[in-house]
Amino acid sequence: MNYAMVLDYQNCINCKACEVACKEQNNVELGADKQRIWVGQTDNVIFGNLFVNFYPSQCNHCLDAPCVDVCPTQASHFVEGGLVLVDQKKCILCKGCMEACPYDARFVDDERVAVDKCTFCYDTRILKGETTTACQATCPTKVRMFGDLDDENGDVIQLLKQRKFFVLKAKEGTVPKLFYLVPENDEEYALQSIGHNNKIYTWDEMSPIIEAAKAKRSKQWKKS
Amino acid sequence: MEKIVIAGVEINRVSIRQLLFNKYMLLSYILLAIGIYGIYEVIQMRYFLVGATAADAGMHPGTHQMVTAMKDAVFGEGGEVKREAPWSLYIVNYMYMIYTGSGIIFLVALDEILNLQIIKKTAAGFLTFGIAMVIGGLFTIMVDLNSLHMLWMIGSPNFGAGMWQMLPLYMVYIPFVLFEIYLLITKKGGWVKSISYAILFLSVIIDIVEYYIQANLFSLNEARHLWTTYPWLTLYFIISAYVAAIGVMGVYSFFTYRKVLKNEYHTLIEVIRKTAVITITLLAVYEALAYLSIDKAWAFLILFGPFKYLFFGGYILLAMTIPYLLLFKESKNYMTTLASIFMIIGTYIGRYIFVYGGNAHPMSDRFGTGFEKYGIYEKFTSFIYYPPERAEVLVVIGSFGVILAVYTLLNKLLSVSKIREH
Amino acid sequence: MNVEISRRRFLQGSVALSILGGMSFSSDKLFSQENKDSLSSEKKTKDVPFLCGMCVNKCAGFARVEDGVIKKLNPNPYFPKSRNMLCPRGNAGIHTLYDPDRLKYPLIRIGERGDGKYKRASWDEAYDAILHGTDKFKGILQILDEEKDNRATIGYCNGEGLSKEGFEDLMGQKIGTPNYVDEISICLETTLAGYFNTIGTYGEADLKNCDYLIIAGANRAEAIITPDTMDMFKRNRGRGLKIIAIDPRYTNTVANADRWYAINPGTDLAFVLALTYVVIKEELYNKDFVAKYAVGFEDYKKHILSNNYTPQWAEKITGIDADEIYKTAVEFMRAINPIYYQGRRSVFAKNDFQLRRAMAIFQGLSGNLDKKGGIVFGKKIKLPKEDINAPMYAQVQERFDVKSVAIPPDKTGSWILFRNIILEGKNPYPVRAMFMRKHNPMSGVPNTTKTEQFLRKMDLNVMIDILPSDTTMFCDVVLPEASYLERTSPVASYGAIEPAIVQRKASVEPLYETKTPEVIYKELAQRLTKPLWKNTLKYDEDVQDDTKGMDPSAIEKYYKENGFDLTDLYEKTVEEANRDKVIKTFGEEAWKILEERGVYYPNIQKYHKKLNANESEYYPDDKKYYTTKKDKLKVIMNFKNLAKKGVDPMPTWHDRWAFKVPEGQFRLITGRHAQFTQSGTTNNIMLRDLIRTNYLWINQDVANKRGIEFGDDLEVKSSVGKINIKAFPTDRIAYNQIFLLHGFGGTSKEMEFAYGHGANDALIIEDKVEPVYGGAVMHETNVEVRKV
Repeated sequence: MNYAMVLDYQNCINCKACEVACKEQNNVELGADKQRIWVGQTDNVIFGNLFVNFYPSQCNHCLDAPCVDVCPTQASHFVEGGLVLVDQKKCILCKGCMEACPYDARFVDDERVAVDKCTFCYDTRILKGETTTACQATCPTKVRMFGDLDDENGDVIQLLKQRKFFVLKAKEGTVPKLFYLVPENDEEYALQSIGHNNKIYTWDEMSPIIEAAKAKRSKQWKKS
Repeated sequence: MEKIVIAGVEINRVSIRQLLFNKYMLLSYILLAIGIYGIYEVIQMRYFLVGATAADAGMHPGTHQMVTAMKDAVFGEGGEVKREAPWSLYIVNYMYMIYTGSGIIFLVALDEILNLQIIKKTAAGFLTFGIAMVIGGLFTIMVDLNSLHMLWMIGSPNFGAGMWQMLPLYMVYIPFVLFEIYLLITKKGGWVKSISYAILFLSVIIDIVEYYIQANLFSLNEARHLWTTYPWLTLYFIISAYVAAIGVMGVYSFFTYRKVLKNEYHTLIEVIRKTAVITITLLAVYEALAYLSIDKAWAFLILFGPFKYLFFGGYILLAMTIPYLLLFKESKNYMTTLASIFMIIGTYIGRYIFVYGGNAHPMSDRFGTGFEKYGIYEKFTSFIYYPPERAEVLVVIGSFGVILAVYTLLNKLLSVSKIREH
Repeated sequence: MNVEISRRRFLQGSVALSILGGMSFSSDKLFSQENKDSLSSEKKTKDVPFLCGMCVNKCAGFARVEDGVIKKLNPNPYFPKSRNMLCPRGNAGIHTLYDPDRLKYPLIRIGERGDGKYKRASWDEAYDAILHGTDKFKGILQILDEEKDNRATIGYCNGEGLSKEGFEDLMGQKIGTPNYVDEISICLETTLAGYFNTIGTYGEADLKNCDYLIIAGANRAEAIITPDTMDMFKRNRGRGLKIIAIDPRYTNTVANADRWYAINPGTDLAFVLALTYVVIKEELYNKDFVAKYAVGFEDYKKHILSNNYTPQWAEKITGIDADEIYKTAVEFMRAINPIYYQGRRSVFAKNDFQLRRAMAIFQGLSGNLDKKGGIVFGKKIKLPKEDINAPMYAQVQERFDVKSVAIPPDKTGSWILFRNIILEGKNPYPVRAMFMRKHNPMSGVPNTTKTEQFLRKMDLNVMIDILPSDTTMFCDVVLPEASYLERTSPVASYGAIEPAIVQRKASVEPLYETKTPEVIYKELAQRLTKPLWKNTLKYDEDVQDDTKGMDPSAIEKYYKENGFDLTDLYEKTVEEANRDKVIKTFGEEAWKILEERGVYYPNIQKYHKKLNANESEYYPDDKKYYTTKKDKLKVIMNFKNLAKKGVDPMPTWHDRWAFKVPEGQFRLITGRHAQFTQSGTTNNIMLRDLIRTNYLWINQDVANKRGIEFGDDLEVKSSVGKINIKAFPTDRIAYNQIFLLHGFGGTSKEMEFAYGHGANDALIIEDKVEPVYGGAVMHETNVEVRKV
């Protein structure tokens, strides 16, 4: 099992249904920067034309996660399926993981006095037998698809095999598992919404990277 | 003065009044009181701030406490830790105190190896002040961490984490330095003398290990390129700690040895002055080279961006330029003292820039198309900086009190600052 | 007033009446009683199907209830309209239920209006206060006595929702007042009417199959309408649907569009006329279709060409480049399935009715009507309607507010006209009481100052609502209503390409002392019916004639038979009525499915297929109702009857409609973000978490020139009022326009999350009236802005 998420961010209209669904589902603390997931927005002007990108995102559940490495108490840890979770009772609030994360995916939950972040709804939905995350289920334009990279017939693999995609800050070497589909049929939009330095992958190119990272780190995956 | 001798250590038989109510202790109480108030504020903020989650509304419908909590959460200032800049003044102070304290210890050991007599005479005092600074640093970090969960450091250790490695390090380091001090202040027998060089070398190695672990702590933060692209972080920490340590030693000498050493005071000051010139030169060379290799996003923020005044006007000017000009040639003792004060302030600013600078470049350029904002009514920001909270400043002031208290107590009991002929 | 007129009032159907009737969900009698099934003491988890009540869409979902507490609202995959999604507001619905500031028990005013001083009362005391008043206000009996049983002295209003018709039935049909105003006259009235008067329906845009979309003045990314929003943004950007957005602002819809034309507010009509000109001039229209279905095409052709509505002409008015207009017109007609999106929202400008007509005609010229990929008529699954035994009151007088408009919407009236005529004292008889439900005219109706004066002028204000809104604070008796998650609502039918019926079930029992609207209606009817009947006997000559010489039991019989018994609407509870209705029409199995899934349509078990984790197919393509009108289709281009009412029979541009902003001033435009529905969601903490306050959009260059920075306090002043608001300089708006988000700036201190954050646009929007239907014009106010 190797959980991942594919995002067709081209669909995103920045309604933030996912943010609210996440907070409700997972009892995330209220507060503007207490977001497990978010829709980022960039404004750019090219040749006098304004264009705005919407970027839904969350924890990448990196296979080679730096946040797990820096955690002194194993509060940040891997579980089966390659999910990165935080055991809040062990968190000493050193905030090392927050500094180590290239995606700003973590924040301090002031109520539990511990670091918090996206769990792919592992405890609140997946363990209870559901197959979707709250953010995926609620999305009006169906941006997200959650699933298992090891399931050859699953929706996730099918999408990754059909479409090209990129990951965030690939250069950091964290092997993230949010796969952003390259917009189809609209090159202009693809160009404006993906940085020039982002590497575009096919599944054949990405698969060995994932396997290597999995081989390296899966020993640490704790059984739940 | 009457003494009790335990294991070769002469302990002064001082009255409680002399021990706890002298002017240094009184000053430390004031500083500690400020620090304790800071801790009180931290605890209030951290443990008694009523947070609110979505579920609270359903679990406690209509209660006024929940309304207040929700209002605070949504319209308030937010909690203690800023998401984009988690490490703040605590880390600055912790780094400064630990590195500078061990810098003193390191330098003294080196000088002893180099057989500098004047340092040998004063080593115990310096070392004690050094260890007091280390404890002051630890005090700061203990306030920063959630102490309620600290047992998990032992219960569920991650040996690879820099943060965890500090634990055994300080469990070895502090006793080791205390042992060094012990050796210095006891009437030594032959066996001690024969291992003293070994101890000194060991001390140097442990110091290097310490800086290495600290460097590891920062360089594991792959995302913060300032820290990972600062070359040879261990070396940087050592060199910059030297400058800060020399500054502290200069000021310490002024207060402690100016009168006691009489004619020899100038000899001591000369050692400090020369060391300062060397270390400042090293640091300057290092910084000049370092900024060639630092990720330009961060280098720009520090050299030309919002940090430039702090960097050039604070760090470069105070820690290096002014002291260098003051110390370049042999001159009056007070010039060294003055330069030392500048070096202390300058290097503190240097640490500040290092920690705050590491967080200054937002992580939000995830797609390579520019920084993101998260709500329509937010500002795009290309620079992250939150000035320290009041509580943090108070705790830092408290840490000065810790240093002063630890040092004063040890000095009163063990007369560590006494000149010892070898 | 004689019986004839009273009777006619219920029978007459103006154009608007029938459209509006057609738009709303099925109208049936409403029955009362709380849902006893949803006992909140259960110690287990259950998923209860509900229909969202956060906005007008009525998306379906399942409420996850754990130990009697709703923990999460999940989307319902079975409903073809909402297609397995809940928007941010839908997700935040829990906080309407658990809003700490909710009205928890009945309140009776003991202070002055607006000062928020109320005493907690029992329901009995509250009903008594409505009947008999207190020392602070008069009761309805005294008022009706003084007005000699002229029921028209009671005004009433209600916002959109599934229980709205129940209130209309009670107040309008049974109690018998014609003076009803609802949200429609501050909403999409002219849009509906324009389309209805041209193609016979507002229709549904088949965005799943459309390939070219002009979306003007509609913001589907932020003003979410299901299923349009979902269909639109899964196929945009080279994926089959080309979107041309016309909007003064750079909205999130614009961000997702292929092209954007920043049009001058209020000049869309000129844009559409120019498109039409190009299409007619170049003969690009669908000639077969026009020949077959158009009424008055030749007249229209002549009209357009002779008026010279060229792109060059439109460029000067709209600010859109003539070449771009030309290009768009050509592309539109060359597309296989082009749609000029109908849009919804408020009346922008006084020409709105004509604009909508022009849009519908333009759509007709493409021939893309009543077919897959076009604007379709769809089908509605019929639910049986129960007749209302509406009594006739001789003393009741006619409504007066819409007499001055061309096509008076007799049922729903005009908020601005109704209010202003009463304020000016020009009403032919006194209107002395307002019965209000789920409506907040203090925020919704332009010119809040006047609304406040209007409310102060009443002898009795009664409010049924969930939250202590600004309007509630001017009411004398406040009845707390159960939120949508606490009540089972009358089963509703959603008509479209993929029609379905849906039922909202109560997920939890009503909190505090709140009651479901239907229970409130019933109890109110029980308390009012006899005293009001006595008043009728006292003053109503027709009734007196009819009952002359009758013994009491015969009078009682007369009272019941002629509908004067207000309680006869409430013989069944909502649950019983739903059950009976569905079983009678579709059978037991259908009822089981509806109870379980919240949704039913014939063959649902056969047709509904899960495509993947996210999406379902609801109907096989060949079973969808794309083409339903067939030969009955008509596109009325020249509507001659309109001329008789003084309305242009063909859309015509008049120069008085030109966009004019004096130097240094700004045109105020308002709108929505996806996170708020007007003022109804303003106290929702989850949504506040996303947007804490509203800001004033002001052009970046203008802001720079005036030294205005993000977050600066600004004062915005119009001829009717002023507000203070924070600045948001942005490139997304033109130099002479400003925008602010609607629904903020509540003055009710009882709403703790809303109070003190943001500004209320209704305070500064001038109360201008659209001349055809009497709708409120939202975008014709010029304002001054200064930094404070």
